[in-house]
Order: sequence, then C-alpha cells, then structure tokens
Amino acid sequence: MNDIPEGRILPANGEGGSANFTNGNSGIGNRNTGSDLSQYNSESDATSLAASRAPVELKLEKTPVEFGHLLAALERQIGPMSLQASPAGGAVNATGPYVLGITSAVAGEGKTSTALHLALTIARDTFKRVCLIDFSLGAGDMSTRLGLPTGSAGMVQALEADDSVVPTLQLAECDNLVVIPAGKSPANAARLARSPRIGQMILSARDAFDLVILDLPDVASDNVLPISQFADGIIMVARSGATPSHVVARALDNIGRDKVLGVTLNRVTTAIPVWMQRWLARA
Amino acid sequence: MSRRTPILYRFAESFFRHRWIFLFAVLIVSGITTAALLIRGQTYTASALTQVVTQDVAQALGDQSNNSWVTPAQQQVNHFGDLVNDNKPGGFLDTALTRANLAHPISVNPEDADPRYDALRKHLTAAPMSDSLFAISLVWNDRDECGKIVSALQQQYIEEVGLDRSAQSTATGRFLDSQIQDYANRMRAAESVLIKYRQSNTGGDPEIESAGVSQLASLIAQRDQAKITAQDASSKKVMLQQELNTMSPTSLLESTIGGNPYRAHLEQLQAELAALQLRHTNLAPDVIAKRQEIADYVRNLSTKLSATNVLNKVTENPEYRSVQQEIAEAGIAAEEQAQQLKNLDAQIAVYQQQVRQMPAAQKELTDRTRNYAVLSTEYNKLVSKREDIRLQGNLDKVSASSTLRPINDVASDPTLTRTKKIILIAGSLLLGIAVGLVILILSEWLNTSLRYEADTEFLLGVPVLTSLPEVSELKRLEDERRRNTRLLPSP
Repeated sequence: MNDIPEGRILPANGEGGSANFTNGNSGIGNRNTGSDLSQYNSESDATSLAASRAPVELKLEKTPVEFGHLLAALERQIGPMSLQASPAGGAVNATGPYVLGITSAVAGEGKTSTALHLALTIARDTFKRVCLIDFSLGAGDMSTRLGLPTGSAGMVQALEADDSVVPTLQLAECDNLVVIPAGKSPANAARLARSPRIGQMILSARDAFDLVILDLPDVASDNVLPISQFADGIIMVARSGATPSHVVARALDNIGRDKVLGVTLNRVTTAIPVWMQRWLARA
Repeated sequence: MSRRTPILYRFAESFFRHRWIFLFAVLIVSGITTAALLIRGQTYTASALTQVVTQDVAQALGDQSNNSWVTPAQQQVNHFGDLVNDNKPGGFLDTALTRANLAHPISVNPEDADPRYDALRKHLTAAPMSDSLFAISLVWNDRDECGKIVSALQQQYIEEVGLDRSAQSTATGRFLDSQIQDYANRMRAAESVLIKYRQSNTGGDPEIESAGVSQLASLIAQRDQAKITAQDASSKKVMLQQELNTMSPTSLLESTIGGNPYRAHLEQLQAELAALQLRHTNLAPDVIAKRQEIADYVRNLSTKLSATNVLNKVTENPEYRSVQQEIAEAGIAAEEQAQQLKNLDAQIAVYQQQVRQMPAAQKELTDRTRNYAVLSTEYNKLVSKREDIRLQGNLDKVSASSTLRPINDVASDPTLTRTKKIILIAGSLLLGIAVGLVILILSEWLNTSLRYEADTEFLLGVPVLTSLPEVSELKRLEDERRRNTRLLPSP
C-alpha cells in the first residue's frame, strides 16, 4: 500500500498511506433516515478534523423502492459475484472491486439523484463498501443535495490544489457508504476532467472500496469520456418523456455501447387517473 | 426483459397526457364549425311546384312525337335547365329576375361578375317530383328575395313555353309587319303624289276623268266577252247545220217488207238507231253515224229494196224540227251579239275619243290613282292576314301555357330546422372529437422521447435496467402502496 498515489482515498480504518484520511460519525441529522452524517474536511493533517465537525443537515429524499429493482438489474448485468460483499477484514473479494459510472445524454436527467440513491441502496441492502464520487464537474448538485454549503471543500478543490487529502462524507447509520462531494464548480471543467489525478483517485478508491460509483458529467458536456474510461460499466440515465431517443442513442454511440450496462428511465410518471389505473390493472 | 405496455394503457396514457390539447381542439373545432354552419345556415328555401298536363306536354315543347322514354316532368326540367343557361341580357334569366323586382337587382352580365348571380346559379335547382310534377327550388339568404325569384322563374318559364309554341306565328307576324310597313310607305308616297297633283291641277276633274278611263276599260272587257259569246253562237250554228244535213225531215213510222233480206237488215239498223236515240241525244256521234249508215244503205240498195213490195208509213221527224229550232235560236243569238258588239264598239269609240282628249298629266294621275288603289288593297289584305296570324299566335301561346299549372303558393322557409340544428351540432362535435384524436395521434407519433421500456430497448438497442418514478410523487406512491396490500415495505 506504500505506492498509493496522492489523493488516494482510504477507508475509515485504513492502514498506512501518506495522505491523511479518516472518517467518523457526527451528529448531522438525515432528515429522512434520521441517521447522522459526519463531515470530514480535507486537511493536510488529521488534527484539523475536529474543528471542522460542524453539523450539516442532509436534504435527501427517501430512496424509492425502485432502486432495489435497479440493484437487481445490475446484479443480472454485472454478475452476482461482483456485488457480493468482501470478506471480513478487508480482504479482496473474488471478483474485485467494480467502478460504475452514471451519466446521461444531457444535463438535468437525474443522474446525480440516481447515483446517490443507488449508492444508498447498495450500501444499505448489501454488505459492500461503496464510494460515491461526484465527478459532475459543476453540472451536478451533489453538495446541494447533501446540504453542504456552496464552495465547501471537496474533490474539485483537492484536485485543483494538488491536495493529497480528499474530504469524504459518510452516513452515520450506513457505514458502508462514503461520499466524496465535488465541493465547488471547477474553474476549468475540461482541464480538470482530463487531469491524470482523476485516474489516480479512481484507482485509489477502487482499491479501497468494493464498489465505486462515479457521478459523471453528461455526454453533451464533452467531459465524460476522459473519466468514463476508468469505469467498468456505465448506466445511462434518460428522463422519461423528455429526452428524444436519437439524442440518447447518439450519446450511447459516443460513450461506447460496449461499456453501457443499460438505460434507466428516470422520472417516469403517468397521467392516467388512479381509478383508471386500477381498472386497467384488472383488465 | 422489460415489460411490454398494453396498447390500451398507451392510449389512455396518451389521452390523459394530452387531454387539455384534446379538449381544446374539440372545443375550438366544434365551436368554429357549429358557428360557421349556423351562420352560413341562415338561409331560406322556396319551391314552386308546377303540374304538367300530360297529353299536351309534347306539343307544348314543340315535339310532335309523343313516344318518349323521358317523363313529361323530366322534359320540363330539361327545358328549364336549357333556359336558365340563357344568361344574356334580355334572356330568360334576365327577364325573370327583372320580373322578380328585387330590391338589389342581380346582374346576369358576366362582365359584372355579380357574386349573387353565381350564388343563384349554384343554388337554383329543378327536379321532377313525379311523372307530371316538377319543382323549381332555390336556397337563398334573403327570405323575401327567395320567394320572389322562384315565383318569377316559374311564371317566366310558363310564359316562355307559350312563346316557344307561338314562335312560328310570331315570326310570320314579324314578316307581315315588315311587309305592311313597306306597303304603308309606298301607299303614303302614292297618296302624297296624288295629293300634290290634285293641288297643282285644281281646274280639271280628275275623278270624272278617272271614271271615264275606268268605264272605257270596262267596255273593252264587255266587248271582249261579247266577242267570245258571238263566236260561240256562230260555232254552235255551224255544228247544228251540219247535224241537220245528216237528218231526214221525216221518220219511218211503219214498213211491211215481204221476204226481202235487205229490208230485214234495214229494219235491224233502224232498231239499233232507235236504241241509240234512247240513250243519246241526236247530236251524239254514234247516232249520227248510225243515221249515216242507214242513209247509205237505203241509197245503195234502193233498187233491191224497191224490188219488193214495200208499204211504208212515214211521219215528221221531231229531232229534225228541234235542230232547226236550235239553229234558228243560235242565229238570233249571233245577231244579238253582233248588235251588242256594234253598240259596244260605238261606246268604246266615244270613250276612246274622250281619253284621247285627256292631257298627259291626267293619264299620270290616273296611273297613280290606280297604283294607290292597288297598294291600298294589298295593304288591307296584309293587315287582315297579320291579325289572323296574331290571333293564331295568341291562341297557341295560351294553349301551350295552359299545359303548365302552378299548384302551390311559393313560400320561403328556413333551411335549418330544430332537428337539423341538433344534427349539425352533433356532427360538429364528432368532427371536433375526430380532429382532437388526430391531433392526439400526431402528438404521440411526433413525440420521440423515451417513455416505455420496450420502446426504449427497441430504439436504443440496450436493455432498460429499471424505470424510476417521479420523485415528487414518491409520497403519493407510498400512500397508494399503503392502501394496497401489494405495497412493498419502504427501505
């Protein structure tokens, strides 16, 4: 573990490493789950962690039950071994960690929400250690979703400052999930997307977690390819009833269909009244 | 494998998603259609029913053959259609519209391009109602004008049929009118010349002079007639004289001839003569020939006849005496005619002397007077003939017009009844629904967004992992799930 590159992320009780990394529990309340979330500011040394433990309310809606279906579909696509829990003691599982990218054809499709809820579902419903990294590069709103103040420390700041320590967030009652927020919008998103340190960061996360979920920018921003190359599989999120099919198809071609696990139709709604839905269900 | 969405669900989904567009389309289309039809439908219709007297229909139309497969009503309809096409000024349609006396006259002149004329041609119809009944109908936007136009067309058509029948009489009358006018002009000219002459020759008495000339002509004609009569009398006298020469002054009353065959033959000839005289007159050629034969026979065989003892008993021949009397009468008549001729010649000589004593101007006056008289006679004849023709034309016209009889009072009624309005509104509503459905289908067809899992897999070629519901509906979905036993527990 001595050859861990800078910016490497370590689990809470990780052993060794040149960069300081820690996580813990604090009294930040989750509105929906009622669990606590701890914030770990990235500092060059561990002594600064205590000072930064201010309570932050996580504005996160309840995870829909359909994400359980998504988890099941992923297990069918990736294979059950890939998402199995690693043995106790942090030994590497049989199939190795998996890096899952979540993107969309255009912005506003709901990829950040999908990534967040999928990570929560996997972390709660399985025994895998999950790391969610916000690579939206300004297009996403992970920090806002988590209730973090704008401009707070995060992945972007660490990469731009060549900081070796990356701040992480962890749910108090969901120890298996670690969230690395973007923190702020990058000054140059294209340059940051092509930073070699991103690859180093993803490799470090891959080594430290069983599943790494990347909240990627949308394909239309042209910044997804440099990052998606580090993903083992990609989920394309499409907003139901909004995004034209040919736009999604072109996005699939751009990103490479061989790497796409499937499409998730998001924000599916129906205009049929409830009484007619029942009637149609009986019919 | 993604679930397939039933078509019924898709239709319901599409309908409720576009329900406002659908309702808007239905309201707009139905409203506009209903309003347009109701506004345009504020029209009135009038029909004029005309009955055709079947026996005279062919003659009324100038057709001499009664054998036709077309019904009388259909013939009238066809004829009416032909007349309506007569849109020249003064033609059938123009005359009928003038007769209608509209507040806003309709111009039939194509150069005026009157839209009301186009509307009239478009909405004017004629159709047979039965074999002997046809109707002239019009749909018009003015109630008063509608009835007026239809009534005028009906009356004009009836008159036109009569005019067609009396067309020959009319043409003859026009020709006679022209001739009468010509003779009138010539007569006025002759009269003018005569008046001028009389005014310029006040000393003479043209009337008397003219009478003398006329008397001379009459005497000459009488003399010619007398000559012919005298010639006939002379000819008759000559013929009677010839007949008399062939006749015997006496006739044989009884004759006894013993054993003489020649006498027997003579008796036979005399019997034949008697038979002929019973059938013919004495001047008949057969009788004369028979008498000649008997005379020759007696003259040639007188010796042989005398050879026998013949006892003849004779009497006076009445025919001979009658011919002699006729000859005498013919002679007397010839002498009378000759005497009359002499008298006439004397009178003619007197009048010729008088005429020769007339001046040349008087002769001219006489000629002009004669010309005026001739022209006046011809003029009166033409006038009389024209009156006859006019009477005949009017008779034909009345006869033909009487074959068509209007059988109803022309009245305008609104075309839209309550039932029609209901049907119209219902139709507009159906049209609106149809348009709404078309818009709905088009909206769905033009919408290329991803909505159903099966469609997404088909279009993109990648599997659909799951469908995530709208986050804002999470609570409602959770409540719904709680109400149903199928609900899954919240994570």
